[in-house]
Amino acid sequence: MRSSAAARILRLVLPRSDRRHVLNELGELYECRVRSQGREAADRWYRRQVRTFVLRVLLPGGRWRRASKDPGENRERRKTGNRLDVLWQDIRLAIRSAGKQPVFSATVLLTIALGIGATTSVFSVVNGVMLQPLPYHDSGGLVTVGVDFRDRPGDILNDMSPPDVFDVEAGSPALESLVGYQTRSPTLTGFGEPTLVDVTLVSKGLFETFHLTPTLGRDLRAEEAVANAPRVAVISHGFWQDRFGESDDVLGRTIDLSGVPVEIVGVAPEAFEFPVRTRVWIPQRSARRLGRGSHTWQTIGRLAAGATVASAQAEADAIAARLSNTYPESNFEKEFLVVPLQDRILGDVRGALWILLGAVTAVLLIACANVANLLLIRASGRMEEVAVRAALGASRGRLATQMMVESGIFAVLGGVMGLLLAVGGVELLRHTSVGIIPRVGDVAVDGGVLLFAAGLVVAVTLLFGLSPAAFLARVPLSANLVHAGRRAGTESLGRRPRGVLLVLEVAMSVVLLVGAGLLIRSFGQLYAVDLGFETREMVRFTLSRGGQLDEVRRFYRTLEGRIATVPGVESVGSIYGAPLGLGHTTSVVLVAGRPEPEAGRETYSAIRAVSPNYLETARIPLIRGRTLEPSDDAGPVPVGVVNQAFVRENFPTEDPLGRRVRIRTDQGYGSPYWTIVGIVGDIRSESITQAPVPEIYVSHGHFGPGFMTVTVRGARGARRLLPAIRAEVRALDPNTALRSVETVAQAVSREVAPTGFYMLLVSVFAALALMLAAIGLYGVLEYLVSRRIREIGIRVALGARAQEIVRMVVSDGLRPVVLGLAAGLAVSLVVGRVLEALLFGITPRDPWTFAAVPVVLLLAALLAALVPARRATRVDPVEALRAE
Amino acid sequence: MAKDYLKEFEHHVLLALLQQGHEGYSVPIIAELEERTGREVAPAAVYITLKRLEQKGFVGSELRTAEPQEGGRERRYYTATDKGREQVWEARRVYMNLWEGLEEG
Repeated sequence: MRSSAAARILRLVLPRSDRRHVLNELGELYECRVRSQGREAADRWYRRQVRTFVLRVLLPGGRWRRASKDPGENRERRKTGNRLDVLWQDIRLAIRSAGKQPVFSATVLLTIALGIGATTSVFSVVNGVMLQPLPYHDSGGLVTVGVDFRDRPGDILNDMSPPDVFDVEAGSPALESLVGYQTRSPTLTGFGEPTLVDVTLVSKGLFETFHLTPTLGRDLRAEEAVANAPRVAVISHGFWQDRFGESDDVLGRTIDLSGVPVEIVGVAPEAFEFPVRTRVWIPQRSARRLGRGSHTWQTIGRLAAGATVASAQAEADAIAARLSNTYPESNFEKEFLVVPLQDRILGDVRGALWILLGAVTAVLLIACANVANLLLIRASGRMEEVAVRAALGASRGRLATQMMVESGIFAVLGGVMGLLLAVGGVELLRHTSVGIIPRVGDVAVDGGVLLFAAGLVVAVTLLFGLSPAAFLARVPLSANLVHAGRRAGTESLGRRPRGVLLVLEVAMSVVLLVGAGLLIRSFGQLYAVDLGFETREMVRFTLSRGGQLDEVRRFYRTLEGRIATVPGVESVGSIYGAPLGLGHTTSVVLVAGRPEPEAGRETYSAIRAVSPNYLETARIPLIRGRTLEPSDDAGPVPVGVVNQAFVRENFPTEDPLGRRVRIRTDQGYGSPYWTIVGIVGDIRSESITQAPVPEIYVSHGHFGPGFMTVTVRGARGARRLLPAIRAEVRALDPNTALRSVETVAQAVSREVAPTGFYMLLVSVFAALALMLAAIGLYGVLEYLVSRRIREIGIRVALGARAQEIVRMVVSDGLRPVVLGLAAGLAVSLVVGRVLEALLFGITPRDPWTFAAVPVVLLLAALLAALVPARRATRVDPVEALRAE
Repeated sequence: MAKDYLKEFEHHVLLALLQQGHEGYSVPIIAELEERTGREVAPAAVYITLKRLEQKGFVGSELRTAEPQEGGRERRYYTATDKGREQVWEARRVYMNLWEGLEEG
């Protein structure tokens, strides 16, 4: 049987008038071949013939078609309406005319490719991060519940206290389950080099909530989260692979976490990680002992079938109100917020991504406006051709269709190029946004993205194809033949849409420039912030240490002493609650002799435990009194140092030195009295953008804990000291692992990275926009000059000087620019507010930005205008007049 | 206006058509060409040439459904016009004149 695919191809390419008989006759020839040479040879022959047919019929200017140019037949074909044939003609015409103007075509293609490429890249990120569901089973039903303190500023979702979690879970039918958890990183021993391992303490197993079943064994149970329950653990699939080689008899074996043996009772399903990076889940045995003031649990829950976030929230509100009545001392002004897990994970990034998508869409629109402008210019240059074709019988619709086909071809080719750019763009975005955009690893150019790009191509075709087509449709075609498309009549027609497009382009560029300017300013402001402590030549790492307070204290002091002897080390100190780092405690600090504050009226301070040398090591300036001394660490009187914000808050009129304070814990204010011995400068500990908070630095020797950040200042290149420091840690205790090793400068960079990232992207988009707008302006002016050669010639002949000609052209160009600038600035004043969340240290109406943008824009416009202006000055009046 | 002389392949195709007697369609024409020239002939080339001959007015054509015993399918039948006949005979006369007096070797 001859290849039916080949026959189908043939059916497709052959003109209708020839299709039937050619197929029949070829079939006969094929049968002859089969008889004379056998089926295989005949098949080969048939396929060869189809290739020949395709080449002769399909290729531009195919000979078949030329041979078919019988006037009678043509008429017949038009009557039968072979639209494909007409379309094919249009496509060929478009490709041929595009090939004749390579620079023009390349500019158009590149513009479209950049627009579509950039938009598709950003959309890929939006798609992968925000539109795709989380990689969990039925992820839509997963929620987290957190605490919102009505009396504390900010919209931070705070952790829950264990009793509150139990009450919400028990009292809310809309929640199928609610699990409290917190993360720890104890040291794992028994597998070679000791390492810190990510462990999550849970109020009960997570698999029920995630609708999963373990690979091996069972889940953790709620009754195991009590003080004297046996110590058990569920391990992650990856941990099982790495540490146990997927061995089946892993159940019942024990692992050592900071010296405590726990028994493995289950292995999680493959790829399950919650919270991310968790390797081991263990029950929180202390859960039932913690009070309502101990906000230590994050939560993960699942909505019951049929329940919504709103219904769960309503129930949570009722529970919060009830608890507020029953336990006013801990639950006054405390609300519970039910938030979809996806929202929780994405946080502020959501807004930022929409802004980026908006910015990049503006770039795409500018690109479209530009291409529309270029096509318009060319269309008016082709008046003559169009008029001739119209005179020969082409209808307006036919001409407009042809313009659309041309636009479509540019859009499709540009779209393909753009997609290639997007593949690279996505890769780039993924690398630059690690740690800034959550889930960025999930980002890929997938089917949805391809669909989006295809949609863009269609939208783009309509956007920039319609205006030249509409323009052509308005041209009085007959008049054009008379004027041969050279007179003013055609010009006034094209001029208005071009001007409007240019104004729009400029306006959008201005908005983007303002956005970029604001972000650049914010970035500068971030770097200019005085953090209040030294960030250079400091390296730090965290250690986790179990045991009694005294043991912990001795370990860290010994370690600090040993590191201090490493050559190159200037000073060493440790802190719990390192600035721009992990973990800290906030609590209410009560000044001795004052009444306990009413519920809801407390002010919170950050509690940081420091070694005697820490404040000097970090170069936090001493304002008054003294800093901590080695004798304080294990001395009889617990002492502390407070910052200026603390003094402003608690001692606005009194001298804090010598005063004693207590720190509230779950058990009330029973803890020791801390004597304030000094006042130090404010530092920005939480983040660069957050103003200093009241802080008290208490001596580690009296406060603990075992989780400390050791900070080392080196003479130069603190990083180079690391090997020696590691050696000291290992020498002291081979079972202790270093974690979060970084320089303080790195921590600072991490803080400014998001702003830097958004700044970079928006600046790139703004630069693209500016460039495109400049090209657009250049194109329009160049065209105007070429149309006014005669007028300019006359002016020159009448004695106009070069200067005047330049002024004329430039002012022509600056009119739309100034209009666009004004419009863009006005829009920016309004739209700038969406950027507010990303800004720092400036308002969205930053005067510097609003002053700089017009300068940049006008300079670019002037540059774009000067080239055509110079060309105008070189017009030779004699030539110009003769040419007419 | 189409050029009035015959290109080489047009000449071949026209002769192959005349060999069919009064009229013929592509299949026997191609068979004739392949047999007499000893080369494989691409049908597409033959169709194009026939179209061109038609444009020049050397042949005429007609779509017709074959007799049921021949398959009953649609074919395009070609006939040489008087102008076409004259043109081959004229070409033959020119060739003969040119050949006169030449010997192989």
